[in-house]
Amino acid sequence: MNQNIERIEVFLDESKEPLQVLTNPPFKVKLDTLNIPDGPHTLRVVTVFKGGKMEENVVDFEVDNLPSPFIDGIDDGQQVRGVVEFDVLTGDYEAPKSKGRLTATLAVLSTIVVLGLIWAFFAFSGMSTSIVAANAVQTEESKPAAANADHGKELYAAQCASCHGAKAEGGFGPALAGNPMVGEADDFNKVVVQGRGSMPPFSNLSEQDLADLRAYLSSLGGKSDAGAAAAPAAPAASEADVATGKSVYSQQCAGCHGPNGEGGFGPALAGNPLLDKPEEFNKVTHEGRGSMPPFPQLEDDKLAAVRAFLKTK
Amino acid sequence: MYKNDSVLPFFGLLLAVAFWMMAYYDGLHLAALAGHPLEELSGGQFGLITFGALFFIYGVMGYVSYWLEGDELRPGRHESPNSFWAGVTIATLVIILVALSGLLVQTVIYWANTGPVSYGFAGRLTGYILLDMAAILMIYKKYFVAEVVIAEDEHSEVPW
Amino acid sequence: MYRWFDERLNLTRFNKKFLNKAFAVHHSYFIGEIALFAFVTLVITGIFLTFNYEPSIRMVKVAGKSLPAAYASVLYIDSLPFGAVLRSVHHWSASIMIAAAFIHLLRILISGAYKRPREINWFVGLLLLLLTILTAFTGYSLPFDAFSATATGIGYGIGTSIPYIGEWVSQVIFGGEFPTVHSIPRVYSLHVLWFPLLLMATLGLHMLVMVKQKHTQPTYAKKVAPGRILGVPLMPQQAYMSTILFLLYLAVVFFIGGTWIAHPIQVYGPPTASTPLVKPDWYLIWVYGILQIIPGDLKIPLPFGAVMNSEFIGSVLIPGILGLVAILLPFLDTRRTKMRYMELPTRHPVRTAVTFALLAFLVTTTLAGWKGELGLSAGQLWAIIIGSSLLTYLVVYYAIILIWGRPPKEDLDAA
Repeated sequence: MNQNIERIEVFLDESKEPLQVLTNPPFKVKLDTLNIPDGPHTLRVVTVFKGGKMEENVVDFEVDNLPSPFIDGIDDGQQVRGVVEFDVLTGDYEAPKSKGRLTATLAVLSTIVVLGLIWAFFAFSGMSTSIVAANAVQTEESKPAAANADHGKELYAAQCASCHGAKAEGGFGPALAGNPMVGEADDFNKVVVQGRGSMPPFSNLSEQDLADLRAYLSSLGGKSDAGAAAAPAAPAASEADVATGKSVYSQQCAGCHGPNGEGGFGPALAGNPLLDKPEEFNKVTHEGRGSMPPFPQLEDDKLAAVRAFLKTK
Repeated sequence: MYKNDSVLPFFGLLLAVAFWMMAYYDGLHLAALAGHPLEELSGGQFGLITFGALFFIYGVMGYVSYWLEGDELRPGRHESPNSFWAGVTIATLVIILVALSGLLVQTVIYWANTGPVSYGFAGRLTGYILLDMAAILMIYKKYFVAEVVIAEDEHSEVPW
Repeated sequence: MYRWFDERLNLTRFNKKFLNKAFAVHHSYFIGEIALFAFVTLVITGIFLTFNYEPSIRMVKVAGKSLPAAYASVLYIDSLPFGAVLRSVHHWSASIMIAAAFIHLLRILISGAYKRPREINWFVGLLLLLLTILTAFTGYSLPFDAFSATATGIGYGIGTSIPYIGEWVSQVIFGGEFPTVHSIPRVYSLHVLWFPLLLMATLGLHMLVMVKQKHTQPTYAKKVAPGRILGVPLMPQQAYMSTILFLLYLAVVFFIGGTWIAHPIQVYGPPTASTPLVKPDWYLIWVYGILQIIPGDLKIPLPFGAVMNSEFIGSVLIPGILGLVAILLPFLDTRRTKMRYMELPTRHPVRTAVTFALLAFLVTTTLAGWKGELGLSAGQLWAIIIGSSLLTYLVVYYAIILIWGRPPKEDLDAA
C-alpha cells in the first residue's frame, strides 16, 4: 500500500463527475452495468498522489446485458424495391431451456429394433444356414439320399462332355475324373451353377442333378464323397506319414513357406490353425489363394501327410 | 439440430454397435465359407468397421460435448465447480499415463532390439495412452475451467 | 518471452481478435472435424511412411527372394518399431476421412447448411471429397502387392474409358500403360506431394470461408440472441474440445489399427501373373456394383469415332451425374437473406426423404458389388436398388409427416 496516494477517482466514459472517489484502502469499486446502456464504454481511473502528481489508467469494455433486437429479412447493403417485409427478432439471454430429450423407452426400443434387425438378417437369411452347414459334422444322412450315378451319366453326356471329355478325362476344360473338387459338394455346386473362368454357368441344374453328377464322376475312380467325409476323422499320424509329408513339403512348399514351415515369402504354416481344418487346407492347396499358385496334383493323402509333418513343427 | 442434445450421439453409438455387429457376423460368415482367416478383413468388413469407428467417435464426442457444454448455451461466465475428487482422479490418471508411457518406450526398445511385438498390443497400448490423455482433459475442463459463453456480433472482423 | 513477442507482433491485439472468437456449439460439427483430424493424422503418419518407402518396382533381393523395391520397402516399414501399426493407422485414417467427409456432406444436406451464403463452401467441400477419394486411390497402389496392383489396374481402365481424353488422362497419371516402371514413381509423387498440397489448400479455403461465414447455429440460439453468434471462445474452451476430440479419434484409430492391420501385404504377396480378382476399396464398391449390373458390352458411339462404353457409363457418368446434381443444388434455393440457423430435417420432409433415398441407393448399389456371392441376377438387383430407394423415400416422407406433422408453408418454400 502506497502511502503517497491521496485519492483515486473513477470516471465512467466522458463524464466530468467521478463515479466514485476512493480515499482509503481497500480501493473497491462497484459498478452496476444494468444502469448504463449496452455498448462500448470507457472506465478512467485517475490516481492522485500527494504533491499533485497524477496517473491515469483507461480501460475499454463492453456492456452486454440485453440482446439487441435483430432485423431478419433485410441484410446490410441489400438492394430493395417495392414493399419490404422484415421481422424484428428479440432475444432473451435468460430464456428457459427447452424440455425434450431422448426418453429411456425410445432408447431401449430403438436399440432392440436396430440390433434385432441385424441379428434377424444374419440369423434367418441364407448366410447363417451356410455357416451352420459349413461347420456341421458330415454324416451319412446329411448327404443327398439317392445320388443316381446313371442319371448323372446322362446329364454329363448332355451337358458337360463336350468340354470336359467323354470320360471326364479333360479336354477344353480340366479333367473331372479324380478331381478333388468332386468331393467338395459346395464348391462343385457353386462352380457349376455360377461358372468360373471360361466355364459358363449351368443354373438349370437342380441340387439333385448336381448330386447325381458327382456320384457319376466319383465312380470314375476319383476321390469319392466317402473319402472327403472321412478326412476330418483321419487317424493319428504315423511315422511314415510324417516322413512322406516331409519329402512332399520340401519339394513343393518349402520354397515359399520356409524349410520348417516357419514362413517366408508365404505365411507360416507351423502352428497355423488351418492345419486342423483338412478340407480348407486341401482346398487352399488345390485351388491356390492370393499369390499362392494352385497345386491340384497333390492328392488328399499326400496333403494329410504334409499336415502330419507340419504338426510336428 | 435444435440444440446440443444427446439424441443424435445416442444413435451414433447405436449405429456404431450395429456396424460392428454386421462386420462381426460378416466375418464369421466369410471365415466359415471361404476358409478366410478371421483376422484378415474383407473389403466389406473394412467399410463396416470404418463407419462403426466414425459413428463411435461421433457418439462419444457428442456425449462429451453434452456433458461439458450442456445442451443450450446462455451468455455469461459460469465458474467451475472445483471438485477435490476431480483433482484426485486427474492425479491418478496422470500416474497411469506415466506408467503407460514407460511401457510404450519399453515396447519401442524391445521392438528395435529384440524383435516384433504383437501389433494388437502396440496399437491398443497407444490407444489407452491417448484415451487417458483425453479423459484428463475432459475432467480438467469440466471441473477447473470456467465456462465462458459470448454472444458475438456476426460481422466480427475475423478473419476479415 | 510473451512480452518480447508482443512488442514485435502486437499479440494482444491478435489474441483479442482471434482467440476470443465465438464458436457455436453443436455435436454435428464434430463430423467435419473428424475428417480434419483424420487428415492431420494422415499427414503425420504419412511423413513417417515417406521416410522409409521406396517408389520403384525394380526387383531387389531381400532374404534371398526377388521382390519389387516398393513391396520390399513396405515390408521394411512393417518391421520397424510400430511401423506396421502406423501404416495401419494411415490406411484406417484414409478410410475414416472419406467416411467422415461423406457423412459431413449428408449433415450439411439435411440441415440446409449449403444455402446462401454458404454455396462456395458447398462446392469447395465437394471438391475436397473428390480429392480425398483420388488421394486414397493413388495411395492404394503404392505398396505394390497383388491386391493393390489389380485394384489400380481397374482404376487405369476406368480412366481410359473416358471418351476422347481417357487414354491421355490415364497415361498422365500412371506414366504410360499401367504398370510400367514409371507408374509407381508418378503415382507416388501425386499421392505424397500434389494431391496433399491441393488438399491442404482446399481445406484451408474451406475453413477460412467457414470462419468468415460462421456455422449454421442450432435453432435455439435464435431464441437467445438472434443474429449473433452464441458460442464459446476459441481459447480456451473450443481448443479443449478439439484436443479432446483429436485424442479420442487417435485412440480409436490406434485401437482398430493395431487390432486389424489394414492391408496386410505379407498375406497378399507381390503381384504375380495370376493376380486374384479383387474388389476395390469399400468407397468405390458402389461404382463397381453399378458396373456389375449394367450390360458389359454397351457401346454408344459419339462423334469423331469415340465411344462411351459400359465402364465409362457406370464409373464416370453415373457418379458424375450425382456430382452435377449436388453442384446445382444450392441454385434451387431462392432465399434472399442469409441462412443463419440449421434447418430441422423434420421440417423439410422432401429433402430429408431424398437424402435417405440417396443413402439407400448407395447401400444397395454397394451390395450389388457382391452380385456373384449373393447369387442374384442383374434384373433382381435393379429391382432391389430402385425399389428400396423409392420405398425409403416414401417411408421417411410419411413417417415425418405422421410424427411431426406437415411443415408450415414458409418452411416448404425454403426447401
